[in-house]
Amino acid sequence: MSTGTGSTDERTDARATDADAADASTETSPAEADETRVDGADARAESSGDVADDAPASDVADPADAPESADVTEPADSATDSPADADEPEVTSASALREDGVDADAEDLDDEYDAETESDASEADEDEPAETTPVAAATAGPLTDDGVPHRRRRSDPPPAVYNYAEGERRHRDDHRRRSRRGAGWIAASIVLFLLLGVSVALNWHLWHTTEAWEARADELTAINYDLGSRLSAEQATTMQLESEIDLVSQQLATSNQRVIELSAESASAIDESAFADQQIELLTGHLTTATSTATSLQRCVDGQQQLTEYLHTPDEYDPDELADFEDSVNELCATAERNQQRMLAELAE
Amino acid sequence: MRRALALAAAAALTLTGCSALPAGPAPMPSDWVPEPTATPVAQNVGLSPDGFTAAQRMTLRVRNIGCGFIKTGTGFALDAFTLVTNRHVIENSRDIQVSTHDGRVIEATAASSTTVADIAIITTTEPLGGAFAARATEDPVEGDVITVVGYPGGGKLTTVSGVVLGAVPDPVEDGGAVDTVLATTAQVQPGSSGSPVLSDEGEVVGVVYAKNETQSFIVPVSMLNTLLAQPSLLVPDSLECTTS
Repeated sequence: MSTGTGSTDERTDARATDADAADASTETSPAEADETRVDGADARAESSGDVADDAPASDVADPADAPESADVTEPADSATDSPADADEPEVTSASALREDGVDADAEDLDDEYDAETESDASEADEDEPAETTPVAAATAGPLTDDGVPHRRRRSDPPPAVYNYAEGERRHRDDHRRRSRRGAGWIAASIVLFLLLGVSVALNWHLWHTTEAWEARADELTAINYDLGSRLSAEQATTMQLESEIDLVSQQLATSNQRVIELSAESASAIDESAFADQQIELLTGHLTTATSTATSLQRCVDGQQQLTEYLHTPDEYDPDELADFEDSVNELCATAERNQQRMLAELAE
Repeated sequence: MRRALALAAAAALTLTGCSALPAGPAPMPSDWVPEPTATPVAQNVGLSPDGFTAAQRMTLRVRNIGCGFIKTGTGFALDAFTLVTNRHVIENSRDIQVSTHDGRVIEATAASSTTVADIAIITTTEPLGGAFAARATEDPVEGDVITVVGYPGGGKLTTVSGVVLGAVPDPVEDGGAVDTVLATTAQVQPGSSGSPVLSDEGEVVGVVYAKNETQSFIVPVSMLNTLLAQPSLLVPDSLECTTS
């Protein structure tokens, strides 16, 4: 390992430190369980007992820790059973490829394993009570330079004791968690498939609804155009009728005015006729009076002529009779004169 | 797995939000255009069977064929057989004729007048027409706009407008009015006597009976209502010549 790149060395150091930290998990307090389990998982995923075997020898300061690191990686070797088993050159090559970004398989494998271990760690935090196994050597964690206890770091030296029973138990717990995880994935897949089915049905329904509304919209558009054309026709008819009504109204007003004029003319004619009737009646009265006057005047004249003849031969008549005849003629003429005066008075009115 | 379950729960919640699914369109309605009503919405009061207004149709021309004279005036129909005019229109009459707006001539059969106002009532046996006067219950007041419909000069049917100036004493000597009359600005002529004075509502608010150079004078409708309510105040007139 000393011949690898700097990053490879760092990775190797980290793995070795992780492997050591797996041991420490059995001895740390519950608060340190997360870090301890993660480190142990890294050790299995790497399945690089070989690397771990070498790394502590070169990178870890304390040579006494090397055998313990080898022990820790043994279960990982037996469990994964080795496609991940690689010798040191392969690891170096893998590290180099990873740096180049080409060895995707190895990186994916690492990422997946890290994810699993992180998930396990979180589950362990939530589902399982923290282990309270007391370990005398590391309960308080390493001390800093100022003597204050602190959380264990990867750079801290590994604990000195490894508990095999605890490793076995942790392995069984991992197995159970994996089983539960698989069942959960199956349940989640079923639920997702059901949801997918519901989504498909929902989309089908929405598609058909949209189709129906689009058809309705087209139909309504056609109806709107039809109604618009009918409305336009009705408006044209209304305008024409209004024009005709205006014309008829004018004609009616003219006719009414003409009726009023004719009625006035008729009334005036009736008035004139009545007045003419009255004039005729009046003239008829005048004519009657004049006729009577003329008759009386004629009788007056006749009487006076007869009286004149009598007076030419007065010896032939009785004087008394002659005087009576003269009186009657005078009375007759007086009546005629009165009639004449009355007639003149009527005509003067 | 928890993330998967959370994802499933979120998807379920999302689908649950779609529980109010939009429904398809309802059946297309067919009653777009309402059925036209068979009856007219409202009767236009301005229309009449012959195109004349009610005021024109109820206004009548009165012809007094007297003893040696012809006199014309105006009247208005109270009902089918009764009309109102002025007393001086039918004085010394031997025959009274009534002409409608369309030229029909109707003979009057009787007439009666009163001495408390220049008002006379004429009755006929033939129906006068289709429009009759609606009398107001209160007299017009100063400033009210009035309309006078009549036959000025015995000529054509004419409509003039004016404004009530207020109550004044009877300006005519021996006019016979026992109460005040109303002066208006409506320009009338001889022959307009007996014309109905209409308010804006078309109600009769007075009867024209006199004029001077600038004003016309009307008998208030309250007096007319009083006379019509008390027939004893009306004295029948003899349709005979009282002068030789």
